[in-house]
Amino acid sequence: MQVNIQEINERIQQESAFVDALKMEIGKVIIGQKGMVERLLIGLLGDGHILLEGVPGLAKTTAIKTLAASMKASFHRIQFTPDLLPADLVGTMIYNQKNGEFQTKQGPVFANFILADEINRSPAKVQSALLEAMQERQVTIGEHTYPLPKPFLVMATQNPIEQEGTYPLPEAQVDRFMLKIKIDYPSREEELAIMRQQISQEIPVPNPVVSVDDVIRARDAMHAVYMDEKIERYILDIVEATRRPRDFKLDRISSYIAYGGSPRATINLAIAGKAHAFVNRRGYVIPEDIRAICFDVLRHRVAVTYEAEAEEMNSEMIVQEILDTIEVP
Amino acid sequence: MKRIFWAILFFTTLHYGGQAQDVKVSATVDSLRYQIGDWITLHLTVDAPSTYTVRLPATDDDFEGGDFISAGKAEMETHGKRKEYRQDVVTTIFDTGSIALRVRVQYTMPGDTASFISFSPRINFEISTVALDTAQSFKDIKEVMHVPLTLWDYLLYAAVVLMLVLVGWFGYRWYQKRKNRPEEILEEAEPEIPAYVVALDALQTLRERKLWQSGQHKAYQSQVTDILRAYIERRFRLPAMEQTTSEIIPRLAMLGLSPHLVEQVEQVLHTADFTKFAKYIPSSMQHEDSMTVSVQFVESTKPIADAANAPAAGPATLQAASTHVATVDETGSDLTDAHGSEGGTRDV
Repeated sequence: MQVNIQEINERIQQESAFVDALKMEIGKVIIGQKGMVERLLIGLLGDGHILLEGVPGLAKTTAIKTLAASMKASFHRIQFTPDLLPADLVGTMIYNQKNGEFQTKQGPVFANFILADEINRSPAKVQSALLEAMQERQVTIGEHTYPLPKPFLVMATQNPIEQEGTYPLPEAQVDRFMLKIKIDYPSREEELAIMRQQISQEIPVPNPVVSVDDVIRARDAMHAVYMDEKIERYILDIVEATRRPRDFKLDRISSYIAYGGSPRATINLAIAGKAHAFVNRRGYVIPEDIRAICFDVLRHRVAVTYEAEAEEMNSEMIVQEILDTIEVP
Repeated sequence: MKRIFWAILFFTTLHYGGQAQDVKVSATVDSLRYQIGDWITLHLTVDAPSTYTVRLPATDDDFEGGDFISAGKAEMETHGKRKEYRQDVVTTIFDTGSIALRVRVQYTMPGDTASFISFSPRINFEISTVALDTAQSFKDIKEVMHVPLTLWDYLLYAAVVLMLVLVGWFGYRWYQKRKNRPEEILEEAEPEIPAYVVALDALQTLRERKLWQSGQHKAYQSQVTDILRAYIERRFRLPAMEQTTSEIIPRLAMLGLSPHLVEQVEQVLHTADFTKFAKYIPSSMQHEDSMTVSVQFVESTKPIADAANAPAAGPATLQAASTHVATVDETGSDLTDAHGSEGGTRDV
């Protein structure tokens, strides 16, 4: 198949024009956290979902609210609690006394942007209900199946400091999140700006600068981003190294990996790589794109052994070892 | 009501009494006087209906007043509908004075899982303690008894001595051999080819293959950068093969190399990246520049000590090197290699 990079580049330049406007609009409200904002856009373009891990107060909710507000899209926030039921999430059938029939009451999951706050506070049945909706992009209530709106982006948050009374997401379910982002504290200067912004009377309000159609069109353009076979093989090497580290001269970490990335990891790494190139307004993927997004795609997909925990090794360190060992094309 | 109760009690007692009487246990002894701890043989006889299953005494629990030691072979004789069991049982008593001892026999009846017990009549023993003469003085413990050595003992000693002699002899032989062994001649390790020689050779070979001239732009650019990255990895101990262009360049700049040279290398790597990942077709000049800058970079950064021995690199390399050293000189770039891992400092 003939690929005209110039054409792709021109198309990407055209279709990704909204990225800067969107970033600027979000930047009016969110100070710093550029990585998180960029990954939100990658999730949005890659049609994937995002799991955010960070201590409270790092603007996780504000970020997704701002993104929704900048896009003329619907937004629902669901606070996951231990007594939440699947029906509270997806909806239920209610009896209408007027006409004596059951009517469907759609749940808060029917929105473009969902913030599943503290997803690990609810039991597995509620998590499963959401994750099923994320995967299938449709919800069945009673006898009817309802498609979820497009775009549909779930951003779930987890608090890493309190584990008591929580229901950690099983590995198989975590795999359904395209990216797992770890958010850290803002820098000193950023925090100063945040403080000044919040104590002033003029808290900026984001304006809708992008339509849902723009995003859907951008998604199509993103898929057209050129990925060379060398990059494809590089992705395969990275994911395979998480499964069979010995094959890649990574004997030192082989005992630290319980299991590696699934084929979903390979797919998501490729899509996220393309989306990263798109967000950076490039029509082709370079190794930098893959390395930039690699941690977010793999950190929740590489399970470490007890031995690794004893050695204080985590999945990020393993991914770093892999990146430091595999030759860049 | 009272009458009914007494009637039930009477018949119940009668029933069990009849059962107990079905099995008769008797025991006789040879003497009634023993010392404490002596073994006492009881000649036990059990008479029971032939349909009953009898378990003869076999544990301490079967002896009241004594402890079980052992039991002899049981013999049985059938007399019509009854059986007679005979067995010699050895017991002992660890108490003194007048001790009553009786033996217990368990049995079961057909069609009943319950176990019943029948006792022998009590036998009164007079158990005396060991007589002690406290008037006598204490005696010392006996001397160690000396057992005379047997033939096997002598053989064992002989075997141990023989073994020691053999071990000593083999040890001596091993020492002599080791002492007289000629010293190993260590082969001289082949000197490692310097990184710049390898790189210049590879670049020259690549040039001769005329890849880009035959339309293989991607292969040519890939190989140029592979050679360059491999050289950087060996020369500066930077993991350039595992790093991207944007990671290599800042680290090269930190080595104190000429900014102009680093800029040129960056351009080469970027051109290769475009060619490799964006289907870019470089111009002839860009291809030539990639080669020129690569050779220039290798030449500029080779260690001084190795530069003096350059003829070892081979004629092809020298030709390539001499061609491009001129280019380097023309650029007039200054370069101070203070971080090189293979050699000292070189100024161009």
